[in-house]
This record gives sequence, C-alpha cells and structure tokens, in this order.
Amino acid sequence: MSFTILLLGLFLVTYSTRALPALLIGKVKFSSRFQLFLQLLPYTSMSALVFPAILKADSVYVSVGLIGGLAALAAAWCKLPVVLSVLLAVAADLICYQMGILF
Amino acid sequence: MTKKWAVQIQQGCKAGFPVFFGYIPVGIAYGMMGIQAGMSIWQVCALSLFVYTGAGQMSTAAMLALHASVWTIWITIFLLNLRHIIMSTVVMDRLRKLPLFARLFLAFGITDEVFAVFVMEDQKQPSGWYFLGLSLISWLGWNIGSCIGACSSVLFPASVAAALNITLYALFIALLVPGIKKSRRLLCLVLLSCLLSWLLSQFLSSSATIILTSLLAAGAGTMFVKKEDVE
Repeated sequence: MSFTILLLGLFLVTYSTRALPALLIGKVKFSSRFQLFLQLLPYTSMSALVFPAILKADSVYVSVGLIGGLAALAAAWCKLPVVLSVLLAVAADLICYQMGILF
Repeated sequence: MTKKWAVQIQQGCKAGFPVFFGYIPVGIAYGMMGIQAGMSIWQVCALSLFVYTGAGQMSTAAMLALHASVWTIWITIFLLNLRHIIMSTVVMDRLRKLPLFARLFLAFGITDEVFAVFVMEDQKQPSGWYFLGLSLISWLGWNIGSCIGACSSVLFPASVAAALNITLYALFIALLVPGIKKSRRLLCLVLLSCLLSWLLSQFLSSSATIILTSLLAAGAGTMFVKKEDVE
C-alpha cells in the first residue's frame, strides 16, 4: 500500500516536469535567471547527494567511499564513458574489500 | 512500400541504440541497489516502468535504505528532475506542431540522454515518430537492465553487493566531471555545494541537508555561473 503511494508520487514529480512544457509550449517564458537556476539544480543536488554521504558508502570504513569516488573521478576525468566510470569505481571497491584496504 | 512513419520510428530506434546499450548496465546496478534497499523485484521494476528516471530511482533506493520519509523522497526527486523542464521545453519546441495528446504522451520519454541524442541529431523536420522510436528503445534498455539487476542480486557474493554501494556516487561524479572540467565557475559551484552540505549535515537530517543545499547553492550560483557554462 505505502509503496503504491510512493510510486504514484514519484510518477507525479517526475512526469510533471516533463509534461509541463508540453502543455505550456509557446505560452510561458521563464526569465533567463530562473532558467539558469533550473539548470544549476542538478549540479547542486548531485553534489549534495554525493558529499559527505560518500564517506559513509561503507558504514565502518571511510576508505571504501574515498577510493571508489576517486576511481570514478579519475575515469570521468579521462573522458571514459559514464558506464565505465561506474564499473571502475565498483571494481576499485571490490579490490578494497578483497585486499583489506580498509581504514 | 514502407510507410513513412515506420521509417521514422526505425531511424529513431537506430539513433537510440547507444542509449539502449548504455542504460542496460546502469539499469542492472539500479536493480541490485533496489533489492539491497529492501524493495521487491516487482517494486524495482515498477519504478522503472512508470517513473523512469535513472538518477532519481537510484536516489530513491538509497533514501529507502536510509528510511527517509516519503515526502523527503518526493521533494528530492522533484528537485533532481527540475532540469527536465528545460530539456522538455527544447524538445517540445521542436515538436510543437503535434497535437496536445501526442506531446503529453511523448513527454514521458524525455531523459538526459534521449534529450542529448535528439538535439544533436540535426533533423530538418524532427518528427514525433522519430522521437517515439528513440525514446521507446531507451525506455526498453532501462527496463531490461533493471529487471536483470533485480533478478540477479541473489547470484552475487556479499562483497560484490557491498562494492555496489558506490554506484550512485560514481554515477553522479561521472555526470558532474565534464561540467566542472569545462568551467571553473561550475567547479566552484560544486565545491560550494559540497561544503554547504557538509556544514548543514552537522545540524540537520540528511534529507533536509540535500534539499536546502540544492536550493541555496543553485540560487547562489545564478550570481556567478554564466549561461554558457551549462550549455
């Protein structure tokens, strides 16, 4: 039951942002400042989701989040595709656990 | 003779293949995360079928694991999705000749990657059929991936499951890097967000921290980030 409500709400908050322009196209113009604000939101919300939560990727050891995050950062910096960056981060953390690089 | 609309759907599917293949592994990661967060296979798949927002679904799984409230999850996902208003505006502007019901239907398929492919494809007359093919194949890829991920989590040992905790963070880092590499101002914005969220997290719950940081930092960002930085 509660999952259905969660699902319904998630559908609404996701679909509404996509459907609104379909409804209003040509009728409303956002100010350029508000447009910029909307475009910056993904950067700020993703940053907030990553830090400082990444340090608790493992509930005990900081090194897991640190090394995985650095692996993703390095991979993306070298312009590897997003998927590869994610996989490399997972691989780096696997190595962490296997070799006991935990602090 | 093949119908014109069939050809256009086909062209759309073809353009969407890279998105399709990109979505499968990320979908697998999401599926495994969802199961780990305590969702059932059906729940994991239902989110992909009806909500269809990659980063949003991963964040949902992460927040469910943290026992965040439903309202917190809704507000966070809404903020995360606000960028789609911009993308949808651009797409709908090109499809403005379509009837309203068709526009409302096609709007469901807008994602960052579909948007990127659609605007890069320099079509003289972008058609709704083309967009339908493109978004349909992308949606399929995401759902196939999610389903595989949800069903396969039992097959993997605990250390793999633990290592997968990094997925969401790695995804976000990978999405942030191109922007911060291109523009110092965006780098400053990201650092500001990290600092602010660390500060706020000392006093507030993790959910309140995420929502407040997103809004405050983006507001501050409008004062120093330039329009061309985010294009």
